[in-house]
Amino acid sequence: MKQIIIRKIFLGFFYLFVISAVAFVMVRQMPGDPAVLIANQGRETEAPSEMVEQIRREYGFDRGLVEQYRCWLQRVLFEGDLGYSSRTKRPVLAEIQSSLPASLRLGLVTFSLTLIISFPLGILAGVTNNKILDLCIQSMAWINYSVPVFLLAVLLIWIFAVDLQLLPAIGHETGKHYVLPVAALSVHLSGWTTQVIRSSIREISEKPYIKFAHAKGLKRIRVILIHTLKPALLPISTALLIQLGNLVSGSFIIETIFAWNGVGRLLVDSIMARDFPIIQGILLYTGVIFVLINILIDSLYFFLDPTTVERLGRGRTS
Amino acid sequence: MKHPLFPTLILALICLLLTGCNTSVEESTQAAVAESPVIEETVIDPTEDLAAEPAMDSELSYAEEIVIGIGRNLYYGHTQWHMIHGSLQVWEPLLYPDENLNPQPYLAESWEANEDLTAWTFKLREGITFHDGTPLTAGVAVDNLMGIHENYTPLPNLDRMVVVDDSTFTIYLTESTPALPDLLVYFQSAMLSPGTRNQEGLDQPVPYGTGPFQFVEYVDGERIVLERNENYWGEPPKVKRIIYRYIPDSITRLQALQTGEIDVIADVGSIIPSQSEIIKDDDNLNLFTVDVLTTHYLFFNNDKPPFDNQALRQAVSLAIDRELIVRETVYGYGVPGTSLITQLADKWVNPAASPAYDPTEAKALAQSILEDDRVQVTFVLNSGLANRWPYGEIAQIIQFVLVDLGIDVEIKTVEGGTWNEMLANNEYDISMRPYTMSSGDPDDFMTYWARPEGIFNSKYSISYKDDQIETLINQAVSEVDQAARKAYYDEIQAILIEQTPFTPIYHEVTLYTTRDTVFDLTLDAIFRPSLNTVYKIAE
Repeated sequence: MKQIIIRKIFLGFFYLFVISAVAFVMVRQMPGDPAVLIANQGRETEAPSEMVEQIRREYGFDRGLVEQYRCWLQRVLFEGDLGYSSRTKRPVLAEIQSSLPASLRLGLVTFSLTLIISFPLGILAGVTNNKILDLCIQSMAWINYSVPVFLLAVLLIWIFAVDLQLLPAIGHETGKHYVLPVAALSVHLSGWTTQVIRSSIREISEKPYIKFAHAKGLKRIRVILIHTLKPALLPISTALLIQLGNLVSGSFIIETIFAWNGVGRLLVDSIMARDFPIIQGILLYTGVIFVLINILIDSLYFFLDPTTVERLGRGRTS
Repeated sequence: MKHPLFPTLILALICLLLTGCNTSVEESTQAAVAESPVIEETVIDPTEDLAAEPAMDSELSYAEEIVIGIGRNLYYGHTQWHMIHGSLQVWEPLLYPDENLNPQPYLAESWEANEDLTAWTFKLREGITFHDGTPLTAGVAVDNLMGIHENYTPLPNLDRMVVVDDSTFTIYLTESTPALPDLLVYFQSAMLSPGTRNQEGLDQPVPYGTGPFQFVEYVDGERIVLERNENYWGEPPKVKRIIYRYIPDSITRLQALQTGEIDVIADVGSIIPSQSEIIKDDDNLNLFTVDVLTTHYLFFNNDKPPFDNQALRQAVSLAIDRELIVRETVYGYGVPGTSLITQLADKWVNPAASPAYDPTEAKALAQSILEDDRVQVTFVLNSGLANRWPYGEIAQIIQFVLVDLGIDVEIKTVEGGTWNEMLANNEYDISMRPYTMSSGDPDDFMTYWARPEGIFNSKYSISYKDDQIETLINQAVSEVDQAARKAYYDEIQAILIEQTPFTPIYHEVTLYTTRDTVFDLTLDAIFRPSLNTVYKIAE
């Protein structure tokens, strides 16, 4: 198993290389000359062409794409230097670090609440197949997931902040500030995760060994928690961990509405400003997050279903 | 979905797609040009009469802090010469315009020119120090002006600047420049301590100015904290601390004001006209408006058929009902564009040069050129601008009225960088953008729009060129006699309205709002809030 994990880590680095290369090319295809944008920043009149050319040389925009990527990769690998933001002139790492805590906190708290909401509801819906309770939970889940998150956020602010004056609408200074953004995101996400959990539970419940367990007279709770939930956790954990990846990569809409300075907002602001080093840095960060999550998912598979190791082992030798 | 490559590639793809619907730095820089100046204040719906508001009273409890909500970042750090926006009053200028747009003394006490207006001598107020304790001297002032000239806006006809003594300096020009004081107002003569420039290693440099408030803290993307300068040379501010809170979403911004998390929203474009009814209906809020120096222009690609034809451009201008546009798209918070330059610079406006509305004449004119043919044109909009102003709705109105003229308009809304590129590459027929005549002097507008090398004229491929206009602009900028200068500009405006390379649609009126516990906040001629008079009663 250790070997497989090591192989996954190496593969992860390969994926990061591919992601960074593809992202580098795509980002450079954006319309607009970055040298002109940087030169004109903060000026009321157009920058002289000599200044634009100087910036083009300074930032390496005059070189070929492959050469630019090679220099960038070299700096990242050997100096850990992601470059400087062309918009704020600050190091990319410092920019991401200053936005990361807000996104991480929002993402992790939302993820925890989503689990708390969707696990009991998903399991209940799964085991009460097509009964009133199942239909109610399913309807609620679909409604939650169908309502756009921005609308939910604005409604929550209007009710709890403006009308009832119970909670603050903006910022993230205290625990109270987390309630509305976390609620908006969790309610929305839990709609989807509840459905995923329900479907997985349903699928396992149909297996003959579950029917056998019931027929054998095992307690229902034991059948659900031990024999149904454990195997169902494989697809559930995959889906949930990918959602976790999305959450900690930043939620632009929620961060904008609740005035949180997170990675999602930083990414969109940087795209608008053609701040290539920051865009590149955030895409790399997102790549790292998803590679880590992939390794985590694989590890979970080995833990929850040891036959995976066997299957993979056989596959390799055959 | 186990594969880690997919989510990130999808994200990268989204980034690429987003470029089709967002703005760019270039645009935001240009938008900033169109963003500051404002003049004349009118109270629309004050629940408290300003005249009857409580004066500072020892029996009342006053808040030490006021929070102002804004929709854009006003701290620039190393990215702009001024480091922080002038509205925050950390730095002050040498000259500042009064409500008639005439330059008035600020940090400069007085100035005088030689006979042919090629040498202007400025005398500074004495005893003024920056927040870091450095005194304001003529040497420091000259360094600041040269920095602005080189890094922000070049001063026309500049030859050299010479320090005469500690508080006096002279600007020598290569030609007569009667409008020099106008060209030195506000941002063009911002004074910052030399210590401000010695912070290269710092991520967030401190702007040391001479203003009533000093910079305390900037929390990236969240807030700017200012504190009262206890050694201020002028009248000290009433409130101890002011926090500028960055709230990008306009709906949340207003909701934060309703909850009392912020006290004021006072910045251009921070309140959208459709929110005015919500504010009027809320007993805790006061709504105000200011007429600003910003005008929204429709401009043509003069170099490419069909709008290389002057008569067809005239026909389009004649077909546009500017009153309807103001009524329907900005809820009346605007002034129909009946003058080429902002109506607030009334001493320069030629009332005879006014774009008319005459749909019958427009149709006849178009018919004479197109006969029974129809032409297809592209109206390209910048999404960044269309998010802040109702350009989409305006384009639709124009699209509708031009059908009768035989002109079929395709509206394309693209992100700022793409917009700039499309315009530069001649890939458009009509477009729109705002422009703020911040100095109040018409040379400002003419330089940007009507000269062949003018930034907008060349960069947006407006490609307008007229030798007579160029001669008139050159004569006007160096004309010493004001009446003669006005006559030149009258003629220029008449020609430009006749030739219609661009046409005004409406002049901007900006809204701002406060909670009813906040008093004495006004916005002045250049959209600067009166931070030294504002105060708040503790709730």
